[in-house]
Amino acid sequence: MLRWLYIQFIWLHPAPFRWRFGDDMLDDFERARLRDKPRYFADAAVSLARQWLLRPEFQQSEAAAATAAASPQAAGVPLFQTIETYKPRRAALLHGGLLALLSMLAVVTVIGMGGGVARPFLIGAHFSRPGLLPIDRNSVAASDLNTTVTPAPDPVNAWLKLARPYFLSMPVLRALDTDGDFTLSPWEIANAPAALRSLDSQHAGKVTAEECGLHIDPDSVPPETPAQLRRQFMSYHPVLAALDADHDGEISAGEIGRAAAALKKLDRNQDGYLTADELVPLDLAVRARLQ
Amino acid sequence: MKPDPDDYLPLAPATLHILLSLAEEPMHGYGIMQEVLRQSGGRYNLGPGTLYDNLQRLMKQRMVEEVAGPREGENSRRRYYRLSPLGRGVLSQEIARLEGVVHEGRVRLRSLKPRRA
Repeated sequence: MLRWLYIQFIWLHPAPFRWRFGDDMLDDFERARLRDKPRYFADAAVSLARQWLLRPEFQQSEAAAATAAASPQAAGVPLFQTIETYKPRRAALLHGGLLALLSMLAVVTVIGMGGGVARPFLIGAHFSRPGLLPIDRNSVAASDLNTTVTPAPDPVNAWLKLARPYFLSMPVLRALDTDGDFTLSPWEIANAPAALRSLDSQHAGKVTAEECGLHIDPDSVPPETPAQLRRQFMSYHPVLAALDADHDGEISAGEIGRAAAALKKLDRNQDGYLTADELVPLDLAVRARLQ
Repeated sequence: MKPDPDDYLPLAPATLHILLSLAEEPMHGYGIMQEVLRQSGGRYNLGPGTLYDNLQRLMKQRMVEEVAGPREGENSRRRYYRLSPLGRGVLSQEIARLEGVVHEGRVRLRSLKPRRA
């Protein structure tokens, strides 16, 4: 405790005096007998006043004292400590500033070029450029942006648009579709025999190809051809092909009686209804791009 | 210009004792204090503050010089001091002055002694 207090007295002396004699003063204090120590404190107090009041010529700057402290003689002295005054060399500061400037310049240049190896830097660019997207441009046509995209038509409306003229041109379908919705319902299918008999204009008990809508000019075709045309006609239209089970070119009385069962074979989705996509010939649907 | 030792006279008691302590051989501060105590017969107990204040001034006046101490031993870290030629000259002049003072004093004191009838 006494030693610490005496150190404080020494610490209060002017720096040049403290650095030059402080160590010896403390050593003298430690050598002194205990009964002499109060006198040492009194002496230190008087010395303190004398140094500050009567010895201004010995008071050098603190910087000079710090320089003295850095001398080898002061090494290892536990009494006096200095705050570190290290400063980087001017050359080091200059090199650091130059390096920072070059690095910043390189980054700005790469960002300004906007592409190549610098794509990672292009996130958030204000203007669109080909280099912004890391994609293979050869796989994309140059006119992509000018292509007009047309939405696909509604398939239901498209089938109705195709079914309307087809139903109207087919006497059998007009007879079967009693409600005119271009769809054969289960009731209409069940009523098919009666509807077919209504087409038998000659009351022969059968429905011929001509009664189903075939028109043959006898003057323009050979005499043996009409039978073949009738078979082709009957086999071309799905609903007639289903009704003419024996493919003889006409719907016989027996086939009229089995008409409901024959029509049910056309119900591909088994929903009980025959819709346009199940009744229109395939080539018409393909021509209308519905198949 | 070489300083004249007479310019520093008379010396203060503390300065005189310090120079006198260093007259024989270099000493460190604590040794000087012990020597002053011995010279004065225990009457003049010099404190560290007074001692080093005087040493500071004497070194500035080039009467005392700091010298390297022994490289080994318990006092290897301490500073050692010795008299410079100027300091030795000042001390010599002061001793001579004091001798004159002592002589004059003895003469005066002898004249005051009562004579026997």
